[in-house]
Amino acid sequence: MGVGMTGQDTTLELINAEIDGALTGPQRAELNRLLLADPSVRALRDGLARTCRALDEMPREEIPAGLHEAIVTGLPVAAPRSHGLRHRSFTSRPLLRYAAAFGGGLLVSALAFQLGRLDSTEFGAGQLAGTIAAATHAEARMIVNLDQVRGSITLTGAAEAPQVVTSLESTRPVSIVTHLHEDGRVEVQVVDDVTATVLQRGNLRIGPGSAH
Amino acid sequence: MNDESDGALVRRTCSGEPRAFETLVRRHEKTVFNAALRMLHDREEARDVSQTVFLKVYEHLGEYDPSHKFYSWIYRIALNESIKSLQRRKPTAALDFETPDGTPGPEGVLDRRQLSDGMAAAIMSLRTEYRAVIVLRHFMDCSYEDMAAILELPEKTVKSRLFSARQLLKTAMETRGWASE
Repeated sequence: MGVGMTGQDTTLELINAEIDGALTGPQRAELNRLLLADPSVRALRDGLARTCRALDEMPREEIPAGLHEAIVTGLPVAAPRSHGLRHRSFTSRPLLRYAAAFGGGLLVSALAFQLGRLDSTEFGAGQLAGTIAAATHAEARMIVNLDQVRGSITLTGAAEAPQVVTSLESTRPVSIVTHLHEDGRVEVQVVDDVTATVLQRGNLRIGPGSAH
Repeated sequence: MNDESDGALVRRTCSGEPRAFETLVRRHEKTVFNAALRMLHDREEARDVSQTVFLKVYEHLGEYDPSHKFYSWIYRIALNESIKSLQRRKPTAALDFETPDGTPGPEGVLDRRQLSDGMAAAIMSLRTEYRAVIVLRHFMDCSYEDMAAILELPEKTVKSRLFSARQLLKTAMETRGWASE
């Protein structure tokens, strides 16, 4: 039988340090001595090294197509909080914003959420609301994770007739305004109904660039 | 390739240059996605977690303490969001993934895909705290020091947990014949 309990701890530490490239000179000498003296230590070292090699050789997956764009376009309109900077564009002019959102082209959908107040920041499947159409195959998705509203807005279906599926919870009234542009892009805005400010804005698109 | 440091990009973002944040996203999105994928074993969930991570990072960028490594901060959020996603799953969901057969093919050797699939399943069989250290060390290339900072644990505890996790994986691999020579 090989090493005892304390000896085993030391042996394990040495083997793992070797795997992680963290062995000192004296530790290397000690590990070599143990490897020569005990076949069970050699078997343990070989098995762990093989396991770690298999881990390190596992392929790193490419990110799904459209994820980068979804992340970037799904960022809140406001600049990071503590610096108090705000982008000034049409979002600071509510009337123009609504005119642009409603008047510029084909309005895919707009709906208002006036859900009950939630005290918890956690939410579960039983609290989903606001679905326009059942999602069968998510093509592009915008995650909403704001203080006031959380969930996702998904664009699905055919590119020429997209459907918007929302799965959101809100602690105050918000509207989801969607606008289909000529280039096939659907602009989505999460609007606070009380302050008439755009909380988040993003662009979703069905097509080769957004397929998984 | 943008060589600007993470800290400089954070400062530029907070000064009202959102494009700087896009560089940060590009720099870290693959690691964050892969970490979430290994924690969750589900591409759709990993995709959602990745989006949530960058949203949270952006929203709280002003609270980032530049005396800490930016990637430690973002990786901690990635792990926490992955764990939250796991907790939201129905209890049976953890059993849904398939454990691939470790039987060698006609040539008598396991191909890389079999090995990778087997390892992915073995990782999912670990308890969350063991899976987290494996993901941090082997998929996010974190040092012991980084892991201790991210998990807010003493380095000694992190090492012990990592060594145990590796042994559990080794046993799982050997039981299924995946690690045989």
